[in-house]
Amino acid sequence: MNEAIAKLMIATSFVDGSSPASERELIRRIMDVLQIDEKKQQGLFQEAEDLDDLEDFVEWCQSPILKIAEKNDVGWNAISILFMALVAMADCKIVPSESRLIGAIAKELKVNIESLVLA
Amino acid sequence: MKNAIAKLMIATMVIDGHIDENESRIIKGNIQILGITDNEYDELLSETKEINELDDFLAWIQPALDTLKELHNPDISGLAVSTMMLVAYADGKIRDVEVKFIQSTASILGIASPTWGSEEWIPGALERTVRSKFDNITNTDNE
Repeated sequence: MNEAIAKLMIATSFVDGSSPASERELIRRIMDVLQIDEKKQQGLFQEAEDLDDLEDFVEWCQSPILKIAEKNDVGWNAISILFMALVAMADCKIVPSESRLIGAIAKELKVNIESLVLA
Repeated sequence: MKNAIAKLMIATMVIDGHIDENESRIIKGNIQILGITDNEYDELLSETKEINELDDFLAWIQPALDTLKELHNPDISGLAVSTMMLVAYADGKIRDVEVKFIQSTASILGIASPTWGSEEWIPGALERTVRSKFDNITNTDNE
């Protein structure tokens, strides 16, 4: 579950085409807290770097979506989207690509995101 | 659980004694994803305005910590601490008071304390970036 959420965070960080070093460092430290080992972390970052457009990111997020959906728990669905939103707002605004990715994943997980301050 | 996480997020937002209106508006929107209503958020935020001392603050967050501890679920505790880290970073500045609060919370919840003192933040990020670029160059050379 933790790895699924980490993947969604990384996707959100990379989808706008730039992921500042400080933001990556934050995500790494969060993954440390979530007990995801460094080799796995590096692998996830590398995979995200190889993605190009929104469709690629949505496709890359399918395995975490399935993992989260397996729990069949609206609370976990909401927490997963919350992590994406928090990563997106790291610079106090959610840009259109982040907004579209969050919207696509929220739709699949059936999470209401009307309250989000989207771009 | 969601109320406990929401409370810890709000606590992280207010602990530096400064509430930026824009930051509060965005965090409010994010917390509402958890099912926290407008009124519940406003009530929690107004409770923080009554806090004058550290002891008041600790008493205010104690029920949230108790809720998480009673779950005996390190994954949920880790996620709660992670949301606090993201809230602390929301304004792009991580203050020592936020770091100490998050590390204390992690310790109380019995999970690994985040290692992110501001003194090691930038060097850590730079080191990883340089190492990653170096690895990429090395890999390209080997192909």
